[in-house]
Amino acid sequence: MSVTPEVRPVDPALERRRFLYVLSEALEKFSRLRRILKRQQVFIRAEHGEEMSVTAVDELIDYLEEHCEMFLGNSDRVAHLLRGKQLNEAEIKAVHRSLGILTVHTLQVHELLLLLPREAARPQASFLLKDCFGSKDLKASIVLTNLFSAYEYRFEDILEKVNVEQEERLTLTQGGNVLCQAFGDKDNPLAWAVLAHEYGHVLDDHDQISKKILQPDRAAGQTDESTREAEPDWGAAVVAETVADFIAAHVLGPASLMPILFVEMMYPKLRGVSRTSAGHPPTPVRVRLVSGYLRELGVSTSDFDPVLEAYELDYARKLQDLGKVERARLEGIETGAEKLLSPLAKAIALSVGTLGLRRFEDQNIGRARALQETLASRQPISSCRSRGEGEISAGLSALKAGEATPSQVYEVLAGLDEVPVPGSEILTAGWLYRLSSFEDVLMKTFLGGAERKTDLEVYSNYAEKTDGLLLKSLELADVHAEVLRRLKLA
Amino acid sequence: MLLSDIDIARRLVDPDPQRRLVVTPIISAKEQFGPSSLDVRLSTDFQRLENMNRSHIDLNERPAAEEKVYQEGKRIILAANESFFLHPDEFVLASTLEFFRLPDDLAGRIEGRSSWGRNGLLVHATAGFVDPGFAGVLTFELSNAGRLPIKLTPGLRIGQVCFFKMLSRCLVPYYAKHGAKYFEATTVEASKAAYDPEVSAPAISAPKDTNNAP
Repeated sequence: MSVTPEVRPVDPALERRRFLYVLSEALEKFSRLRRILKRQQVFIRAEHGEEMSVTAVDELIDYLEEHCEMFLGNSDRVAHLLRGKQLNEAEIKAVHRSLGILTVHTLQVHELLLLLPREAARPQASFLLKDCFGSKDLKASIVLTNLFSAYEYRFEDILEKVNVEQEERLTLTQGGNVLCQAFGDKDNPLAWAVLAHEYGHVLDDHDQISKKILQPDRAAGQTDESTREAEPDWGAAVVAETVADFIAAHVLGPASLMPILFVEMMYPKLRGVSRTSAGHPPTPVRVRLVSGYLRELGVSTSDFDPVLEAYELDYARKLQDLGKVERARLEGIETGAEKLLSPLAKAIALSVGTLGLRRFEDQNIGRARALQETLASRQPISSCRSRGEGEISAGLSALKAGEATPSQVYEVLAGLDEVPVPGSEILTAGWLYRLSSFEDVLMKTFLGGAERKTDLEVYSNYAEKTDGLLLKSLELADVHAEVLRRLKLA
Repeated sequence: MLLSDIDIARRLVDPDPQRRLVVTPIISAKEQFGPSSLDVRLSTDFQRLENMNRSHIDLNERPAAEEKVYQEGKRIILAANESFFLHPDEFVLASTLEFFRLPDDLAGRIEGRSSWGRNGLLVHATAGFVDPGFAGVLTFELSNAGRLPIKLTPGLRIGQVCFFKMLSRCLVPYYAKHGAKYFEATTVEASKAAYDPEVSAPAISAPKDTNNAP
């Protein structure tokens, strides 16, 4: 980070914004997880009746709600913070501590979702990938995982690593790539930008982008001694991550960064050296590189700058909380990653540009702003009209029954035809809507005052409704494109 | 008063939010507009009611509507280029591709299209009425009255909606109605009759069978 934690001045407005982001993300993760568990409870009871034990699911729900109750013990303080009222330091700490408890336990319960029956990834996730990567369709399956981070693998790679004693090794050639998505993100299209990143790895493996870019000796020369010892492939891994980041940003724009930043902010502590030395460049480096790449593409990040600023503050604060040794190590890795990746950014951008993928452009953000307003009026945002409403109205006014010919009528009515919008615009509009609306919903959730009860259902319903509209939008856009294809053929 | 094609079109671009009718997406107005109706398309999700383990429908047995869906229904979501085969006498729920928002002074009615009706496809069993103030996708109660299976693909125009201008604006539109159960639905939703108060209230105990009295 450009500003070290020690000298960073306190900006109350920015601190408040950071708190709101963390609070909203924690409530969304909690609500979605509870929704999944309740669905499981209902499913097991419906399939097997009361005689079937659902102890494990019941236990998880109880555990989650118990820790939520602990958090709700601070509702009044949260309501005060939301309304900009002064709290003393101890009260602020209590709020942050209880929010941390809710977050940590939500994440832990999520990790216990090992074998949930009847849960599969949403088909809309495949629609989104088809829309973004249609020109480079390499067939990838999406499966759900109990981890709260996405990853990808190929059957063949796994088999190579499996230590089998049998003489006959399984020969799988059609398995293809598997993208793993967190259970908790199943219903939330806004989090699916991570799938674009994982698909970026698939493309990278297929086209050998990072391998061609990276000279092994060069990578080795620019990483620090300790990192090289711990993980000799570290250089190759961070370049591969950057390639995947650039591919996701290329097709989705700045929204590709949002789920990563929100999850990182939600974790009460930095996820530490283990994650970064295992092959992920420190997130601030990723943000800087992707922002630079988007600037090169002429895409503005201004709508998302409030999140980027809050993340920067969040990282600085959490870095400050680390022990001296770990902090120095992390800063070392950050410097090493920066030193390695900055000179390669141009080559990575060039390679990603030659993949032939549809590029996210600044005009996509412009259209997403208009779609955001439609979403705010609680409508799906899968399409838009290419003709202005004034022009259509004028055309309709000019038509006279008995005088206008059918072809004249159809010409005017054609103005009502809608064209499907790309999935990237749907996701961007979804994020813009979330960023512009969540604070108001938090206010309605945490009313504060003695008689006014905090009702988490308010936030939960808001998240569920928005999910539903975005899922419907992705589905509509897919069918819309298919119908247009059929009409064209006809 | 039934709206004509031009009335429907005007309502779709009416700048007054109190009068504006929303139907989205309109993929091809030329194909979809009729003289007094708008054709609607089939969406991707279906819900089939299972009957294998059920002797009858008794809403009092399991009042949780969500539970009923798992127990009695099978949810199928197709990709845009996949098909669903509706067999003779089969009954499934599906929904319109289009999302609707009706102003407080318009009511609607969903009907089948003649071409599909001639093949035996019925798009609603009984509930084809759309209230003023309703928002969401419309439900198709699909059944096949013919003798051959019908192949259904998302995006097909299988129904049409007509709109009625009411003599006066209603006092309580659907969105404000007490107990509105399907407002802003974006997918097929199974029956929520179990939430009706007369269904969810405990049944009056039947008189004891005196023959079995000890």
